[in-house]
Order: sequence, then structure tokens, then C-alpha cells
Amino acid sequence: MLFNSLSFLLFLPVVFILYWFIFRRSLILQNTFLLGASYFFYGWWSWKFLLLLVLSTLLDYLYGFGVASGNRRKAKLFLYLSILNNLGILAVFKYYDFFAVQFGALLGLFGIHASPILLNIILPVGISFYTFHGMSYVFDIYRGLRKPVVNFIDYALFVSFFPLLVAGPIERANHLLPQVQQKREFRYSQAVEGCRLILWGMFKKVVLADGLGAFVDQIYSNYGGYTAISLVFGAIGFSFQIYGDFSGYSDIAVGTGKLFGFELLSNFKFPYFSRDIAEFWRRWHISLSSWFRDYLYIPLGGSKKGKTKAVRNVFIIFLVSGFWHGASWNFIVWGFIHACGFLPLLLLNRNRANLTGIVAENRMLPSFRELWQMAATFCFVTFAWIFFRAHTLKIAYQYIARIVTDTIRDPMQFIHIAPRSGISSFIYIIPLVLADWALRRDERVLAVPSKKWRLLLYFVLATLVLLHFGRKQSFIYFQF
Amino acid sequence: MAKFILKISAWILVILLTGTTIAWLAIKKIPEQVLLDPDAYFMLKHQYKMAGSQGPYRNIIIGDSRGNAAIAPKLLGEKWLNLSISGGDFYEGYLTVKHFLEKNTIDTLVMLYGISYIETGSAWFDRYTVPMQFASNEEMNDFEKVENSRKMEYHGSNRIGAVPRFIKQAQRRLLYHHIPLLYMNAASEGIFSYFKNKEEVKAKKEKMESRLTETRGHICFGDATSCAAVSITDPDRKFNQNLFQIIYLDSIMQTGRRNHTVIYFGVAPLNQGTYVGYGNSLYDRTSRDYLKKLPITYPGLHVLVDSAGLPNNLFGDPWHLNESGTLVYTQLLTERLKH
Repeated sequence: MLFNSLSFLLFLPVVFILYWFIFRRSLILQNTFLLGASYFFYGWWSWKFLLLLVLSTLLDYLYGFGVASGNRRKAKLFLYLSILNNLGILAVFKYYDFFAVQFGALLGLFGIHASPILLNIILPVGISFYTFHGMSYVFDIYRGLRKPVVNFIDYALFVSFFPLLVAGPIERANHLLPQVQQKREFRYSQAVEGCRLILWGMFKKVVLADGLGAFVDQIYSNYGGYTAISLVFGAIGFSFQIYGDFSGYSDIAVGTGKLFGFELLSNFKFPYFSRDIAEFWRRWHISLSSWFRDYLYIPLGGSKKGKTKAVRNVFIIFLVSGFWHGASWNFIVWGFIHACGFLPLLLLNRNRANLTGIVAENRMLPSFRELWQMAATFCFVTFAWIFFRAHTLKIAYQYIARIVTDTIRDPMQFIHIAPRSGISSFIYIIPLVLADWALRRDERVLAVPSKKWRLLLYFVLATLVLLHFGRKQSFIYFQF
Repeated sequence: MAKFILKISAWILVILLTGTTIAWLAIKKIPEQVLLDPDAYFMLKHQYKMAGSQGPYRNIIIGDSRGNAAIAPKLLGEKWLNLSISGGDFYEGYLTVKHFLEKNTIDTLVMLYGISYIETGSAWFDRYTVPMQFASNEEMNDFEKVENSRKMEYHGSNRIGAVPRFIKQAQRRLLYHHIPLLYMNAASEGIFSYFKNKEEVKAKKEKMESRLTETRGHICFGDATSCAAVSITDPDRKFNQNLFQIIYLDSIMQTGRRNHTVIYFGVAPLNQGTYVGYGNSLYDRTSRDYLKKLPITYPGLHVLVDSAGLPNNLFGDPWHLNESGTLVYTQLLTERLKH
């Protein structure tokens, strides 16, 4: 079920009340109930793929014991089994058809006509996330960072906790498992913070992202009929749509976690205020980029084995990251573009230039240099998003070509797109940017000092969410 | 914990009250922006009003938007009126005839629908007819009885159980009675649209009403001077009329018989672009068989089947005739009516 659906709005309070009133007495009760609720949550979408989730969970649970073996060879065997198992699931459900089609095309280059057998299986929701949960658990045991979890319920809850089950954040065993293995007590301040996050996340998703989505869909589905300026607004619209959609989802997930006594990983830290691409990737989908850093980039040698290998590793990471998002060339090209943006920073040793601190850290406004840096980074990221959003490379090229070659005319065309196509949602970008700017140092959502203004803000946001509720737009990252 | 639950509950209550009040006010004050888009709203409002008004007209045209576009009543004579309802099928046609007869008589009735609407009905029922409250409360009760007696959902093809049917009917009733919770998103978009184009909408209202009054219900939709686009893409199947269309076509016929009305039944013409792939297809043949049998089922009914494929330059979009097409089709109809 989607977070922005009536079924979730009914599910959440029921689970919350049962959890804190009936199942609070012991840790085992808490975890068993939450696991049952999480499986119900996932099974609501498909009980068949629920079996896949349970099977994947069980296998990694068992592999964990094998990897913890004192025998290094045996441990390595189980590690490879886990990788094979998880990547195998992804290969079958997510990537098989892509490779089959590419193989058929490759044969075609040699004059061999082949009709590949396609599976046409629907992609199980959350598969890219829970497989990574499982792999990170096994990797951490192999590295000696933790011991295997004995209680299956605890482990299964770590993998399947419903707020992060379908679109992250991708949790780490050392971060979430200790919380799972400790009885949670209700804390008023934590629950209030959770509600604030949920409200802010709903605003970003329901009001901003879904509204922009209608506008962006219209532009992309008929890009040949729009002027360059409209297409530019379409690209900018998507930049904010995906940010509102994904960070909104993450906020709702983290906020929901807080309602049940959990502190989940933060997934976004104001990425559009980044001063370069390296900083962007430390602020966007943090759980995924850090996962690739820790489990792929560093094992490959990172940047510690010479510049050539560092460049190689950077390209591997970004291409794999692009491919993780979808079995399609446009996602791979998107990753490649980001790799190209990161490369100069790496070669000039500037990829850690903005490692700590935030833009305009001790000032209210950015300097001109910082403004220029943020604008350039935003433009680069928005350009790359065109490949991400377009269904094919051809559409992406044509979209960009039209921006470049179309003569400047009818600058107000995009405003005249039908009102119900979400043009009004552009207005909400302003409060979003202002709020993010104000929060960039503190990161406590909606923590307005004045009680009067705080209540007014909650009132306005909640009313806007209610008035925009019901638009049929899924979460973008559900498709990954 | 109790404090938290109480606070959250209070907040939810306040927000729900505020949101529903805003939506309710929006529906009341700017229905043309909330219930539908302004053009459709004003057009339907006008047609509904004319269907329920007493006037000098004795010959009416009913149909869907293709009926609005195809026939210009002023070319047929002084006592002609086009009461076609955009997005309507035989159910809306039946309501139109029923409402009109409350204050008038009908000497001649011409029915003109797209073949797909004749078969399965329109998909606009929940989007147009229900929120616009074209049917009275009693009429809504009556067709729910039809749904329940047939154990089917209106416009559905299969039987459905009592519980899902009840849920669907309840949802429809909430929509019908403009329960604000179902119009939240429409209200917010409508409010924004209102502030953005208030004057423009006012002008649209005046233009639509004067135009429909002047043309007596005729209006074209597409503005192209020619259209070759295909409007029927799946002609390789059998024509299979939906039960509800059978029921309400029968209701129209029975009503006409009781009132001694001469009835003409026509299928909206197709452009050549469509007809190339459609003519003599399985769907075409089986639908023509259906039309041939109609006068047997309803003695005295006149069926118009000879205007199937008209030139592309008579169409403003894939489905609707343009003004040139209206002239041609109305002339064809005039000839048929004479005989």
C-alpha cells in the first residue's frame, strides 16, 4: 500500500495503537507484531511476492551463520552464496528481460535473427531494497563488524520493517538491529518528531511532487509540441518532483519509524544546495550511495590504489548505481553522466572540498561563488535527470535537442497548460526551498521556535495535504 | 501516550473540518471549476436545463457529443432541438426524453450515438452524470434497483457480488451528493483555477450559453479542417451489446411508443481514416446485423445506417464532425426524414 493512500491512513493508526497498547509488554511481542504488520503491509500489494521476501530473508539469515564460521573458506562460500542469491533474484526479476533483449540485438549485429524468450514478470516492489538489506548484513558479518542474529524474528524485522520495506532508506545491520533487539518505550518527543516528519513528507509528496508529476507527464508525453522554455520548465519540474517524491517518502518512512520507537537513517540532506557533484552524492539517497561506497567502492580499492583505479572505480560505482535504478540504457547513461561530472573533481583532488559543513554555514545568504556553485550543480543534475525521466535514450536526446534547437518563442506557453496538469504546484517549490534553506544547519523538520507560528504552519501544511490528497501518482522509487 | 493520541486526534478533526469546509464552499460557489472543467460544465448545465424546460419544440435529437456535433437543428426546422448530452449513452438519453416529456410532447425523436456507446455505454457516467446530478434522487434509486436485480454494476459486463456492488453504489452516492471528502483535490485545483482565470471562465459561460441557445444545442468539438486519425482501433471482435444499454434503449422505445413518437436511430458517422480499417470488419458486420434487427424488435423504428464513412475533411477530430460535416450530415438526415 502507498503511504499516500487511504488504506495506509487506516493501517498506520491501527498498528500504532495495537503496538503501544496491546503488544508493548515484551520485546518478542513487539517484534512479532511489527513483523506481522510488515508482512501484511507487503502482502497487501502481492501475497505471492511476499513469499519471495520471506524466502530471501530466510536464506540470508541462514547464510549469516555460515559466514560467521571460523573457517575462512567456508565463510567466503556462504558470502558468495548470499551474493549469488540476492543478485540472482535481481537478475531474474529485474534484469533478465533487459539482457535477453540486448543479447538478441547483439546477435542481430552478426546477422543472426533471434527472438529472445522474455519472462515479462512484474517487478516485485522493494526488491532492490530488501536484497541490499540482506547483503549488507552478510557482508558486515564477514568483515567481523557484527555477529549473526540468533532470533529469526529480529532479523526478519530488520529486513522487512514496513516503513522502509519498499523504497528505503537502505538500513545497515549495525544501525537498525541494535534497536530491533532492544525493547522500545513510547517517547512523546520522538512521536511528535515523527508526526512532523510525516506531515512534511506528505507535503513534499502529495502537494508538490504529485502536482508537478501531472505537469511533467504532460510535457514529456508530448515534448515535440512544446517550446524550449516549456521543456526547460519540464526538466526543472522533474528535478523537484523526484526530490519531493523520494525525500518525501523517506521523511514519511523515518517519521513512521519514530512513531514505533525507531531512529532510521536519514536519506536526504538538502541535496540541491550542493556545491559540486561529490557533495550532491553525499546528500542525495545517502543510504544507497553509502552502501555502494562501503560494499563496492572501498572493496575495489576506492581511491587508495592510484588515480587510474580510482577513476575505474568511480565509473563502476556510477554505472552500477544507474543500473540499480532500472534495466534500461537511459539509467546507465544517467549514471555515466554523473560519473563524468564527478571525474574532474577526483582528478583535481577536489571531491572532498565540501566534505564537512554546509553552504553559507555562518551566514543567512550564500556568497556569489556559492550561489554560482549551487546553480551549476543544480543545472548539471537537472540535465542528467532528463535521461532518468525519459523512457528511452532516443526520447532524452530528442528532448534535449529540442531545448537546444528550438527558437525562443512563446515564453509563457507552459503557464497555459491546463490547470489540472499541476502547473500550480510550481508555487510550492518556493516554500520548499525556503524551508530547506532555513533547516540546512539544524535539520529538525518544522522546528519553528515560535509556538504560534509553528501551529499555523502545521495547520496550513496539513490542510494543503488534505486538499491535495487522492491524486493517483505512485512513488517514483517504487519502480526500482 | 494518551496526551499524544488526544492531540493528534484533535488535529485530525480540525484539519478534516477545515478541509471539508473549504471543499464544500468551493463546490457551492465555483462548481464549474470543481465538478468538471468549465466548458463541459456550462454545456451540460445548458442541455439539462433545456431538457427540463417547456418550449415550442416538438422534435428532438438525443445522443452523445457526436450527436451535438453532427446535427444542426436550425437546418431541420423551427421545432427542432438538439438535446444530445456529451458523454451520454442510452441512460442519459432515456433521462432526457423522460424529463422533456414532463413538460412537452415529442413528435419526432432522432437518436445518434457512437457505435461503442451503443454497445457498452459511456465511461463518463461517474465523471459527468453523477456529479452533475442529472438524475433525480428517485431516478438514482431506480437504476440502483436495476443494478441489484441484474446483480451487475452499471456499465459493467460481469455479475458482481452484493458487497462490492454496495460499495460501488455507496461511493457513487457520495459523489452524487457532493460529499466534500471526495472532492478535495478537485476543490484545491478549482480554487487555484478560479483565481487564475475567473474572468475567462465568466466569458466562457456567456459564450457557451449564447452559442447553445442560438444553435439550439448544436456544437462542434474539434476545430481541424480535416482529420484522418483512427477512432476505432479494435474492429476484429464481435459487437456485443451491454445489458444496461439494452434495458435503457428499450425504455426509450417504450416511452416513445406510449407518446406516439416517430423514432429514428442512427450511428454516428466515422471518418474515412477509421473506415478504411473498420469497414467490413467483424465488428462492423456484427453491429450492422444488430442494427438490421432493431426494427424487428421495435416495429416502426427507422434505422439510419448509410452514412458510415464520411470524408476526412468533414471531421474536426477523430470522433466529431466539423461545421462542414454538420452541414452534410444534417442534409442527409433531412432527406431521410422526408421519406
